[in-house]
Amino acid sequence: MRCEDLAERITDLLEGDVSPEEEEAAIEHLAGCSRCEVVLAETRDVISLTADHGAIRLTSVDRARMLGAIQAQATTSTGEAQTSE
Amino acid sequence: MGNSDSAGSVSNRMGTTTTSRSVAARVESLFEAHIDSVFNVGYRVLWNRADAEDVAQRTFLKALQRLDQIEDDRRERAWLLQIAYREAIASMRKRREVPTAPDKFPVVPAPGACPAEAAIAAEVASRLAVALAAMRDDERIAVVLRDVEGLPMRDVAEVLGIGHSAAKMRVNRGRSSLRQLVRNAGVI
Ligand SMILES: [Zn+2]
Repeated sequence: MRCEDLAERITDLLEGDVSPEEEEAAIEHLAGCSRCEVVLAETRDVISLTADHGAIRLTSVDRARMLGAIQAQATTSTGEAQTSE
Repeated sequence: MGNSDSAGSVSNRMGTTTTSRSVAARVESLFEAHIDSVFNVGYRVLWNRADAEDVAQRTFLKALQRLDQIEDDRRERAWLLQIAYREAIASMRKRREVPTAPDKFPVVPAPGACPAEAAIAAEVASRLAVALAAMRDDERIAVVLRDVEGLPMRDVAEVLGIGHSAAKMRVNRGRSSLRQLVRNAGVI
């Protein structure tokens, strides 16, 4: 296995989506290639970084405002709320 | 818009017991469970808060018209995010001006975080946002769906409307480019 091959298969490796032979070849490559070892470790880091810090959490004020706007439209368009207007 | 026609026919399909109250309750439960994810998808495509809010609003209204399409609860989020992604792409194609810098978001601190932790988290989130903005569009959204939203790969493929191996390739390339961007930004 070459470094380029390993780079292409990192996601498969991390998701366990490889054959036992491919996994063995990857482990063998990693044991002898510190560059790919760093790439693999950094990929794990970036995955947890993204999971921990990539989400936007709306404030409760924004949530309430957006839900109000959606519900106003939704009930109006069913026709139910029009009688009260 | 034609919203009233299609929403009306859905309430007929759902039966005569459907009232505006039950519609409102259904919208509220969908909204509470998924608004952050829906907003996140819109925002990471459009980089503009007002546009992402429009996308979220249209997504929930469309979802409401198609409630009978939900197969099971586990896939509800993938189904909603597919609607959101399509709405976001449609908005992106329609708009004339592309924002030059992403809108800033005040980071909502995690419950119980002390001020110092919250400040560090805000700094990390802000550098990550800059790195995400520098990615290719198609790779960024794949990474957001897989790693931020935690969708299984087959749902990433479904939301993006591409095959399983193409989705894996996008996630893989996206992670690789994001890894280099955050390393250069000193985040990892
Ligand atoms: Zn190597």
